[in-house]
Amino acid sequence: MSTSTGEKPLLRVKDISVAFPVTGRGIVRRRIGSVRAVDGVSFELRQNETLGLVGETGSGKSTTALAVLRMLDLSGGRIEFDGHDITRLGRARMRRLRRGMQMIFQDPFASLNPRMRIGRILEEPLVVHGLTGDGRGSARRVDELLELVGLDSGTRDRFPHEFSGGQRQRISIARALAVSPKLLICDEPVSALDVSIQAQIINLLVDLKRRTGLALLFIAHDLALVRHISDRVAVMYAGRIVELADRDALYERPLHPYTQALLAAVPRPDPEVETARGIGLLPDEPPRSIDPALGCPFSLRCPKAMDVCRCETPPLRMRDARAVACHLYGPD
Amino acid sequence: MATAADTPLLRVRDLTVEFVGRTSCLRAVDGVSFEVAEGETLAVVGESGSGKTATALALMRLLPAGKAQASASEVTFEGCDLMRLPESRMRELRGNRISMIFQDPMSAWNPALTIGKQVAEPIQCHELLSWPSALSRAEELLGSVRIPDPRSRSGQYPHQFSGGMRQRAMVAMALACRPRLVIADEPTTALDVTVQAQILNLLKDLTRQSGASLILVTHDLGVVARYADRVAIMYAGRIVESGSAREVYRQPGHPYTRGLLACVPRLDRPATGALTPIPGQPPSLNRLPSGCAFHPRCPHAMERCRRERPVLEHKGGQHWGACFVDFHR
Ligand SMILES: Nc1ncnc2c1ncn2[C@@H]1O[C@H](COP(=O)(O)OP(=O)(O)OP(=O)(O)O)[C@@H](O)[C@H]1O
Ligand SMILES: Nc1ncnc2c1ncn2[C@@H]1O[C@H](COP(=O)(O)OP(=O)(O)OP(=O)(O)O)[C@@H](O)[C@H]1O
Ligand SMILES: [Mg+2]
Ligand SMILES: [Mg+2]
Repeated sequence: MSTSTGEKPLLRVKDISVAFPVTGRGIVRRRIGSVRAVDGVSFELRQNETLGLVGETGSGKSTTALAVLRMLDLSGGRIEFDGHDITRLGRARMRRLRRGMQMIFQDPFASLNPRMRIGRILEEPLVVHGLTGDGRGSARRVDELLELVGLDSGTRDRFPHEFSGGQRQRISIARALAVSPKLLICDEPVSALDVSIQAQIINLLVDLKRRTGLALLFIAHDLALVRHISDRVAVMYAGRIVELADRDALYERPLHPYTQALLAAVPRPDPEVETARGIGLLPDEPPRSIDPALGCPFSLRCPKAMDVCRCETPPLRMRDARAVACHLYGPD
Repeated sequence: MATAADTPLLRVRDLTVEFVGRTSCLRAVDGVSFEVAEGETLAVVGESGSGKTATALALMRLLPAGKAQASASEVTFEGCDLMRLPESRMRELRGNRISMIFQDPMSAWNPALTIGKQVAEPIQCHELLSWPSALSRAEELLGSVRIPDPRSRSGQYPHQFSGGMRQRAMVAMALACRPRLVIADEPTTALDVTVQAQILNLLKDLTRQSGASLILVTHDLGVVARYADRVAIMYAGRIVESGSAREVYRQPGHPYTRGLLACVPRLDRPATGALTPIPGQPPSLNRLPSGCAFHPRCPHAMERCRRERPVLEHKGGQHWGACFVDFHR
């Protein structure tokens, strides 16, 4: 399915699934089953487009990202990137293609080697991908990258611990951009940063996208931030996409009861709005079972659940140029 | 910063916390004064490292011994001077008259004890109940925070609870002995928004029912707007602005507060072009700028701001601010 039109997508993810083994608690860690962390996820992403990915903890957002990068094995489905089917690509060819897709992580402290100077950190991906040319070329590229992310070129000789969290995240972004990727996957890129710094990083990403035509897959918990940066937004619940729509359609008229509950739960930074606004609280989280029960995984908490919801899993269906997986909305 | 004519539940004057290392001494909290009235919710907001947790731990007298020193000209809680109370009396107050909910719901639990036992312990200790009655009171409390099937759940261990359930059980434990003051240090930071709303609504309802006061440490301006009566904004170890939530949101006076409110995208406003970040970086405590610690990032900084440090002054109503620039421009 897709809500995008025209132009061939850069990334096409079709019905992918990822399962993790579940082991027993004894001394011998016997495999007792598996958990489907991602269960039939499909989406497309074009150049110069940002797809936001939101959903509760454990809903499979990071797993989806790692699967797209082929850092995890798929148990089903198909991924096409830049015209290539990368679903079953071998290591060597995948490494070459990975130049086109880079990732930045939540924790700017853990993801930079503490013993490397910034210059080396930025050169390393160039070396790995054989892009150094002569020595001077890579030095120039490092300066370019530092400038791109708003750091001065004097920082190249310093170590990661000499930088603040926001600066370290800029360095991670510079490193990801070193090889001129077409797709940048951002997994909670600002949630470890102070709000006063978050805006700097978000503006930087928006600006980079505009200047380079980068496609962004942007994972975050902060729904206001996702609205700010995304062109389209996908909402995940229990390993599935339950709703996918253009940004304004999703935020102004959420269809899925989970999306509605999610948006309602976000407190607005205005005491007058908040005293006037009631929020319908979701009931407690249900116990998680290893095998997802038949039926809609949200039905246990859904205020609008019907009988059919408990026995039949709703497929992701197109409705008015958007997609929703809910029995409240039948086929068009 | 008086909030009411009658004596407040808690009054803090010039609280200072220093972390002493072998070679250095960091002043994490630098002369903080505030009050909390009976039944009031005070939110404390500020960036990472601004001294929010250090303030909370100082009030509870839970700062790491030997590493940190707290001093104050006054910390009065229910007429007692907390700074000068013997540790044995302090232990009676903790978990009983004042309790604390920590940021990380996992590390605050003992992994080897069942949830029920951990909730029952302070009840037995402070209310002098028999162990079986304390346990059944614990089950009741777990039910009151809507843990499903509290009888059997109370026999489970922390890892068998979801993050949200652990934090709900923490709320139950914190309120077990009907404290007058609950200090919640980022109680929902690690949780989903839907779970966050459940926990905070619960905390708010339960404190309202028992008339307890709440100090809510958070970095989420939405949470402040929804749950706080008053708010104190901290920057580099000091309170730079405080007031009723309405005053501060309608007319933020300190440039830092204005910056905070302007830099977050918001669901209640149309999506805009670029965000307006606060320039620069938060200062590190061992290299604090001269004068007002915010001046290097402040769009209105004047010569005076570089030389002199502004103190918290009354700006009308419940509104206080520490800034030389005309507060209600
Ligand atoms: N390496 C792994 N082994 C086993 N289970 C895993 C592994 N990684 C993830 N999972 C499980 O897969 C599910 C999806 O996890 P994932 O990290 O993708 O969620 P997420 O949406 O990114 O959550 P969060 O918002 O907390 O980052 C979870 O139930 C998680 O426990
Ligand atoms: N045990 C410690 N030893 C030395 N310094 C400490 C210690 N604990 C805190 N600090 C320092 O004291 C300052 C205030 O820390 P505090 O934990 O109060 O900040 P905070 O406002 O709670 O931040 P956050 O939002 O990250 O929780 C920081 O600069 C911190 O590095
Ligand atoms: Mg994740
Ligand atoms: Mg803290």
